[in-house]
Amino acid sequence: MEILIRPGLTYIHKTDHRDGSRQKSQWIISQLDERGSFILMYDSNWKHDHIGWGLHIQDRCANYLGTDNTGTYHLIVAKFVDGDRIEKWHGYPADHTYNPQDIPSRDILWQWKNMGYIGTCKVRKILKGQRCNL
Amino acid sequence: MQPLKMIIEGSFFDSQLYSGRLYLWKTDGSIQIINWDKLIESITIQPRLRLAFECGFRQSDYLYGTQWDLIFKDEEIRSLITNKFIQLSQNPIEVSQSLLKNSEIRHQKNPIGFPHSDLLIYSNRLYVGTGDGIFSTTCYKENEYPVSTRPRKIMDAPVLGLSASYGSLSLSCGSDGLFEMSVKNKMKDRWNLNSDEDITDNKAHNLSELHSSSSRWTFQSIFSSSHHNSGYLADFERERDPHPSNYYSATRKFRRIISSEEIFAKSSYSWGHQDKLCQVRDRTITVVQFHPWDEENTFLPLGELQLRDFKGEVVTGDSALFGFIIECDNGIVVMDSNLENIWIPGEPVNWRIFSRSKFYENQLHIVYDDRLEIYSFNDDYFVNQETKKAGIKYYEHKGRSRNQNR
Repeated sequence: MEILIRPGLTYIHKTDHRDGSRQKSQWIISQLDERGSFILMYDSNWKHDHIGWGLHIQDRCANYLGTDNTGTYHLIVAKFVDGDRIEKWHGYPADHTYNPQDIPSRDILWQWKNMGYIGTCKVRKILKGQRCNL
Repeated sequence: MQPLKMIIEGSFFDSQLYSGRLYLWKTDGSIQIINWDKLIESITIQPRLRLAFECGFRQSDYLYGTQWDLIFKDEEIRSLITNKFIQLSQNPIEVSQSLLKNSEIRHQKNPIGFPHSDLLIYSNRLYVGTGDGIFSTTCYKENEYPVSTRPRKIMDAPVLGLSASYGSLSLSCGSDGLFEMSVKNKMKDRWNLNSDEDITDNKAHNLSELHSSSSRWTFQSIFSSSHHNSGYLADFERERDPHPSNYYSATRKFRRIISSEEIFAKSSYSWGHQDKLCQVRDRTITVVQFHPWDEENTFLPLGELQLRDFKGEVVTGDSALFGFIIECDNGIVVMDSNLENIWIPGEPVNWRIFSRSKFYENQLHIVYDDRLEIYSFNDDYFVNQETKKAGIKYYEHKGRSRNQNR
């Protein structure tokens, strides 16, 4: 489902990250909150080279936004991709424990820490690919 | 016996203790380098507790080894020394910022990307693992900047964890698997050069494509840990050489990958270091002793140890001489070599042990948001190293000597 966020900026909700598809992490937040995470990422410029990193902020803190592809544990980081570089983005819950490509860049993690969204403990756990229970 | 505890206030991200220097990675992106010996000397301690203090914080090797066997068999002497540690453990030793500043060698900019995923110092060279790859620079005492300002990128791939031995780094690269990179510097070995120039080839070799989050050396082999598999041993044999004590140049030959299931007959998070391989399941640690030189009893089961204090899920585990260290969601539990549980509450920013060290192998550094806590464990001197179940075995032949330069 494509949603026009604002002129020139589109967000696509991918069904395979919501339908229990095997090998796909799953969102546990609503589509509205998924777009909220995307817009926060976009407006905060938490992105490099058409790859963005988002959080689900509640009460000024990061909250769980998804589960890993086996449904075993919760995830707190979202990865957004503008694959064709035409401002048509999609996203998914990033499993930082599995794939190093799903670990946000350290400058963005440090921004999140400085804004109080995540603690320094979580920065370390994400950078090391360790599980990050809230 | 409770560990000794030192508290250094400040906002740190990581710490290293190497060759008489404490390196503090601060959250402002700088590195503060402390003359550790000077700091220890400057701390006021009752003279009758000085022995325990020195052994606890800067000379852990002093009470290890067979040279004290005769003396330690004397119950009165043993009790006397133990009492000194107990008395010293009653109150934490607090290090003020001014005391720390008095022992400061330099406070410099971090020349390498921050924050890092892992780092270590090996043969006077700092290796820093980041999402952008591995960076290396020197930290010779002769350098103007204790951490040289001329780092070099030696690998492009993201790295989650590092460990060093046998002139090589083991590299845990998540879903890319486990790698090994030689960091032997033959020219430097030969000519004992202290130059910043790095003339190693720094080629990384893939040992396994299985997921790896962290790794530790088990003699000449490497044990990889992950929550996406139960862990595995990259098994190497060490070829005989004419100078067996020179492990740095020993030739190793890869044999095979041995899964944790093959070692423990069960699946769960596992880790291994030197002679101890551990698997934690619920509140139980299954311990297997690794004898790579014994073909019939390569993996000798030592039984199960019950964890009393254990809160949340396991994040990671490691092994030191003084015991096993398990990080859970909300704190760290140490099962010391007397099988006592020591629960240290609070989610740490970082923590590390110094198992390769000669003088600080009894220490556990835990960084919290506003301080560094240094724990010193001193039970293991009196534990039978042949029969101990918790903690790696002390080997006298490791070339440890009190007379060696720090």
